Amino acid sequence: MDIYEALANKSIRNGILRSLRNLSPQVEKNLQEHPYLLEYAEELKKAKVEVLENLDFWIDKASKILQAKGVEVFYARDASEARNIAEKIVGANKIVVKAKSMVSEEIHLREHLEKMGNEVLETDLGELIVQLANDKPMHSVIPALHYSEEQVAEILKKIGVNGKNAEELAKGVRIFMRKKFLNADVGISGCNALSAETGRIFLIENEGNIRLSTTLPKRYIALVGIEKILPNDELALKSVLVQAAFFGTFPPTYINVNEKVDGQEMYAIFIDNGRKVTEFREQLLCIRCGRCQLECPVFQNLGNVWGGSAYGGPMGVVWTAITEKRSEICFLSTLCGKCREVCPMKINIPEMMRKIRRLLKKSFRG
Amino acid sequence: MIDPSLIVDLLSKNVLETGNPLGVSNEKINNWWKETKIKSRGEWLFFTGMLYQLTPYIESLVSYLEKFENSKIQSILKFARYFRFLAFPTLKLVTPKRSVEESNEILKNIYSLLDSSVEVFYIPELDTYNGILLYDYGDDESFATHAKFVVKKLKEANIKKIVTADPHTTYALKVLYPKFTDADFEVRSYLELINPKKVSKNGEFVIHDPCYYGRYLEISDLVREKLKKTGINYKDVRYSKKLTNCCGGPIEALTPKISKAVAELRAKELGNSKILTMCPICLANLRRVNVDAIDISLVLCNESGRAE
Amino acid sequence: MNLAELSRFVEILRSHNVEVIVSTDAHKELQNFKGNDFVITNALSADERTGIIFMGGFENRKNASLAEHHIVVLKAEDIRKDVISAYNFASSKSNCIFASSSPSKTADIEGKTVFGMHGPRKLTVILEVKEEV
Repeated sequence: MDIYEALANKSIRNGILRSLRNLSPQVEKNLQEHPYLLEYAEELKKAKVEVLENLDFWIDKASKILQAKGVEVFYARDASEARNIAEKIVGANKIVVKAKSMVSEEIHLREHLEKMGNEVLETDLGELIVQLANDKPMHSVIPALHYSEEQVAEILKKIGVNGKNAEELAKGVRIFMRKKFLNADVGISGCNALSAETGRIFLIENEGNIRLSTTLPKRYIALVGIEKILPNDELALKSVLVQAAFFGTFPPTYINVNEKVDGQEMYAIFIDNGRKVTEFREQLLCIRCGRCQLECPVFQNLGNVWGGSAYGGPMGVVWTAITEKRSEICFLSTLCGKCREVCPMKINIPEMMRKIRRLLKKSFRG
Repeated sequence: MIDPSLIVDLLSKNVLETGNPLGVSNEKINNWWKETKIKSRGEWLFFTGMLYQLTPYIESLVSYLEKFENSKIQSILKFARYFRFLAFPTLKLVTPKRSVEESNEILKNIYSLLDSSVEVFYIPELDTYNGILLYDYGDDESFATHAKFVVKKLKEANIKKIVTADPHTTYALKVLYPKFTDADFEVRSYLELINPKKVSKNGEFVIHDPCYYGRYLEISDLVREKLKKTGINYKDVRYSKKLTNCCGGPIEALTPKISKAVAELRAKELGNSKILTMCPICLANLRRVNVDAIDISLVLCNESGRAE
Repeated sequence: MNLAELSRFVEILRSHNVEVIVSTDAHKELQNFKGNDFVITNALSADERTGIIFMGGFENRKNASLAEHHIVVLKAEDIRKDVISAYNFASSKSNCIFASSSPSKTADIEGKTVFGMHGPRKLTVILEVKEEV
């Protein structure tokens, strides 16, 4: 789908505006009822800035603590390295259950593992719908917001789930997925925050699929974007709480603090993929709440189609410049500054959009 | 999307050669002051930055560009040539006279509002395009060159205080020029300086804050204070002030279709009241989706009305 | 924790669709649950302001994630004033910390909330208090 097809596709716009209507007042309410979250956000930003200034130190520290706890740790410089590492851990002909993870989208891990002969299942309902429809997530937290109940019913028939409404469909998926969880060989998740103090991986969710994906399989792989490292548990917890509050669902239904346990093999793959050397370091402060996307007037019209192969919208344009070196899409921004205004980390996205333009301009002249 | 390299290159070439993004000398478009009693000395120099004057022509250009957007024609050389052909003489022919008159009317009103509040003066030769499009497209070098040219002229004229007409010019002069040049002027939007009186305007208005006043310069509350003095019946929508939503205007030259879709969303939020705008780009882009909108300067004093 | 604070906490849990039973004897309350589709976990702590309940242990996490009906026994004295204190308190007592604040839910289809997506459909908290409240 290109941007003009997206523009003509009313269901994208309607889905985004519906999500915005549901979530935006919730964000306001969360911050009114829990004003300390704004302090958390400030502390978090300060800590993240410091970590990013000494990224090598923190990667090293986090790796060592993970290893000391018995986790096998890898460092992937780019997407292809990350895929190869994961492929070796997973092997072939396995059942793999995946928690929704943007970094996994970024390295296109699911497609790769499928090619290697594995049955790979997205376990988040929205992400499963997108997987079955051969589509791309339309928003980083609400991937299937552009499908109607009717369309979802049609898509889910592929896995033998029948139902007329959200309730019935969810029930069907629960039954289908429960069997997969119980038989899965490998579980894969992303990482919302990693504590370098304890090597604990913090993950929030509402469905319970992350808990099942990372608890039931004997082999567990955590994909960790290197910008997710925080000095301690307290900051990691604050990070996931701020993320949930600024997305709109607070408190999150589940907080998972995953660590190495007896009886489960655990692997952590640190993913660099352009992060360490980027000129857009400020974007690494992003905690992926997705609020800038829903609030952006251009995203409201185009969804994630305005983006690269994984990330879209205001934050996504910059993330795409970091991870894919693709950048002409920055010209679609109106530089209206709404993204910076609503961002919990107050990331100056408009300024980075301009910076991308500045770099591109040099290439026009060249 | 129209190939950005085409737009950016043409734009910087025009601005650097003629001081103006359309490649036309300012005298041809800057006519509002000819029918107004302007003072040539005073405390505050009125500086329009040419945005109000340029907007009617830019709008005509955009309606042409819209035909090429997402078509294969734009990739071939013909388009580039056609694009250059769409220079001022052609644009002038296709631009409605009414729009040009309205822009002049707005500037006259702003000047008259200022004249009754502060010691304002105007020197047409000093008024120049603000260069903001170059900055927005990431052409910092050309922007800096142009800004230095503007600042030099102002400094040579011994200007200290500047009052502006639109948010983009205000932001350029107040925030960007000091970063890119040795400018140290005191800069204010006219909305900050005026003391409007009671007016008799019927109907309900809804405010559309421009992004630069709402977020970048944060003067939305002040605008409301001034409006209160006039007794105008206005309301705010959820997305106003710091959370205001964009009119879509800034991307109109690269993607008129998406720009229009953004305007449609904004118009829907603003509802059915008459929309008050404070920026020529907002006014023009919102009107592309057929809303009832009017520049705030035309309702802030009683004498106006011709353009309503 | 005074009575007002306690009832506010209960109110928060109920607003998250959690069934709350306040009792001086959790053990006695548990006897009322018949059948085999529920899992019982002893909570380590909870946050007064958000209703987040912390638990610990890998086996507990596994059982809780698979349960249709999750019953959590929480002692009022383990409730903390803020979420960080609650986490630190839990983490001082166990490894493999996990937290729940409501039944499993999703809003992935047209934003419609459905409970019992992959985790427990029902979450019951038995809040054990020292004297009759």
